[in-house]
Amino acid sequence: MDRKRLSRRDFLRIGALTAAGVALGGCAQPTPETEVVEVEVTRIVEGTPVVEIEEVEVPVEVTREVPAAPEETVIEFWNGIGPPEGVLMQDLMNRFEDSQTEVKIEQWTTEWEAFYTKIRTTYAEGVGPDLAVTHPRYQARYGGTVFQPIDDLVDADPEIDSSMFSGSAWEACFYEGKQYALPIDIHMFALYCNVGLFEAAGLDLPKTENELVEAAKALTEAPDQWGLFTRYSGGGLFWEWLGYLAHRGQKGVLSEDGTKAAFNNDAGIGALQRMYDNIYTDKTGWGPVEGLDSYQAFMSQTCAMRNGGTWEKFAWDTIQDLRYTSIMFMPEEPGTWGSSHLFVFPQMGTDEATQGAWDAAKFILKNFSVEWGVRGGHVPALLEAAEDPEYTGLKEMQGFRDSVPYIVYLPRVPQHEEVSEAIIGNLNAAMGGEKGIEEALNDAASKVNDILGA
Amino acid sequence: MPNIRLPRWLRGQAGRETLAALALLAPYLIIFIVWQIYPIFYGLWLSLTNLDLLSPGETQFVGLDNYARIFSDEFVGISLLNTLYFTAGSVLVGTVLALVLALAMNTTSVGGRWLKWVCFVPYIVTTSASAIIWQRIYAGRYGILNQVLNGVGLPNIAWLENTHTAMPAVIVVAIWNELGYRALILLAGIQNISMEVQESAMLDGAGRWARLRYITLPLLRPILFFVLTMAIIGSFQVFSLVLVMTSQWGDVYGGNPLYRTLTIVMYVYAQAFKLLDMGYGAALSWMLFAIIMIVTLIQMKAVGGQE
Repeated sequence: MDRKRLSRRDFLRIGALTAAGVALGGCAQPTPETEVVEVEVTRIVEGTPVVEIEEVEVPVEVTREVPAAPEETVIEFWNGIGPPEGVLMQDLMNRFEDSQTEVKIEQWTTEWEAFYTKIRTTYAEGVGPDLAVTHPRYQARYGGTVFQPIDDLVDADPEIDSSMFSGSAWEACFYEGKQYALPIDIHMFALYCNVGLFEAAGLDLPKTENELVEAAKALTEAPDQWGLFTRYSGGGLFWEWLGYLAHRGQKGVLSEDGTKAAFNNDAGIGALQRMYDNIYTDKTGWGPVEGLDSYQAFMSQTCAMRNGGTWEKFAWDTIQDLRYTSIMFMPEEPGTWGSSHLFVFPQMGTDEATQGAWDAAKFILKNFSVEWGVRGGHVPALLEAAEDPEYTGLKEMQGFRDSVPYIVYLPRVPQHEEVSEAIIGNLNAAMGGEKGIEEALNDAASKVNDILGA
Repeated sequence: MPNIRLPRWLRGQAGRETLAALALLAPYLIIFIVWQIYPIFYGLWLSLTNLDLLSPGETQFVGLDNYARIFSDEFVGISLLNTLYFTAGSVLVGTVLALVLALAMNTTSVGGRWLKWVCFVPYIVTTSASAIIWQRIYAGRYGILNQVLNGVGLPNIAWLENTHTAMPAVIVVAIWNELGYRALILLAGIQNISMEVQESAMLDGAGRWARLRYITLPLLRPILFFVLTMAIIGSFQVFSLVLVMTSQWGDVYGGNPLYRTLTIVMYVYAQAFKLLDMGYGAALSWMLFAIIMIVTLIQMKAVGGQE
């Protein structure tokens, strides 16, 4: 039997007709609903009125149900805090959502690199979250654009006041006189010490830099045990160097007015030299050749001390027989890198959404700050929470609490990323042996001054 | 109904076939023009402006300022040299190895078929996964490679932190990723060479090496040209492999250690999406396009033209 084959022309005809039909169907105007009714019509026939019944098509009155206005406001919350605290923040937001019915939260949690890339590239299209978490240094660049001032929101809310928060955390929310954020916490570096290794060696915890160096030497039995992990590359090198710098009386890397570099001096050189000597002269810390994972080294108790952040507590707590504590870096002349997590309100949506975001942030701060400190590891910005016995009962975090008045923030200038890159690149070169320490710091300062236009 | 007179090339049987072809190609062409052609030329426009994503309303036409800046930017030179280093290593070494592999696979034995499967597996592993796997292999004291070295009495090497070994380490991963794919393409070319030609040469007393040099390689030239061209274009655009393998927290440009692995696309990304200087990033992209175009044209003259 001969089958009729579909030719290419027929296929195209059918396809075009189908597409046209779909398009026309979509464009067709809806016909009004009508019904046929019988009406009495009186006509005069040869002078005599005659009543006739006629069928007439008339429109039908249709009553449609208008959907009720939505009862809840949906807000978007973007969060760059990675695990484990990032998961905790998700949980706290869920608990806020469960506590009321007016605000629903759509959350996006990622890591910082992806967060900042997305929030700044979507800004140009007017897309963004109603609530987000950020760091103080980004306000210089994004304040007034991605991050909107919240002075009006603060002034209008009697439940939020500067006296409720740690001074440095509250100040971190301001840039050029405008407030852009509410502070969640303060986090910084302090010196984690393996208590067991110190006791076994019969040593006291160091209070001065000299004691730190001597303790590190006494606790080093390379390659099986190291006294002090010192960073030799990356952004963490910059943070750690800020602590050694502050210990020498230099708080920060820029001049007071933030217009030029102020670190290529005796303090800067001395700080970097001390770090270099830790690794290559005293050999109390490993270098790139050994390439140990610093977290694993402290957890496996092959490293006695490390300058580390509040968030590292989670890793140490997973090791049952790891006895550790934290002390300020260094009590004799304290100073350490620090930062804060801040709630910002990009205000991309409606006023209702902004209000919902404000309510969510306030709820988290007032009800969960203690939990954020205990389970998140960071020092709560809310004073009441920072003094709560449940949080102060974490004795191993005392070094971080003691460090709060002495933290040094990263440069808060619009070009902070270029400035950081110039410094980090040269610190890496010095620690990697590519440049002398003084040469590296002078090159960094020269670049920073070019960037700042000094 | 108006009498529409079609152009000559659309009339008749040939014209109807042309119309049918256009109709079938239309969906792809529309997507291609909207999502590829338009952004390319929009990027050209951007390269002539000072667009900052945070203040798009203040964009101004700056002419060739972004292009002039390229010549005084030290990181352009650094990233281009690194990219050339990566390209030379991954393309030249990788293609030679792929050719050797293709010759080894040119057999109907079980071993040849097994070799094809094994060598193609790295190609289907995503770049990011490859980078993470090899980070573990290259890791310091407890990395697999250093464990092997220690086992034979050799000291550790900080593969990704040593300025001399970081880029070669990345090149090895790039070769590992692409080897199977290139070898299969070359194998297809080898198997297309007529057996009669090979047999004639054997009858004339040509040995294996002579047949390879005077018959196989010349006849493989078009395929080799294709493989080299695609490899060079891909190598110039290397990004995710290096980013995942060598980036550290706090980087802006990346390319650790000490910018030794900073490639041109990584630098474009940093300028456009971290520092939000879209105009300069676009200018750098067009510079890269021009370089790739020139290299490809030179290649066509030197290799393809000798057919």
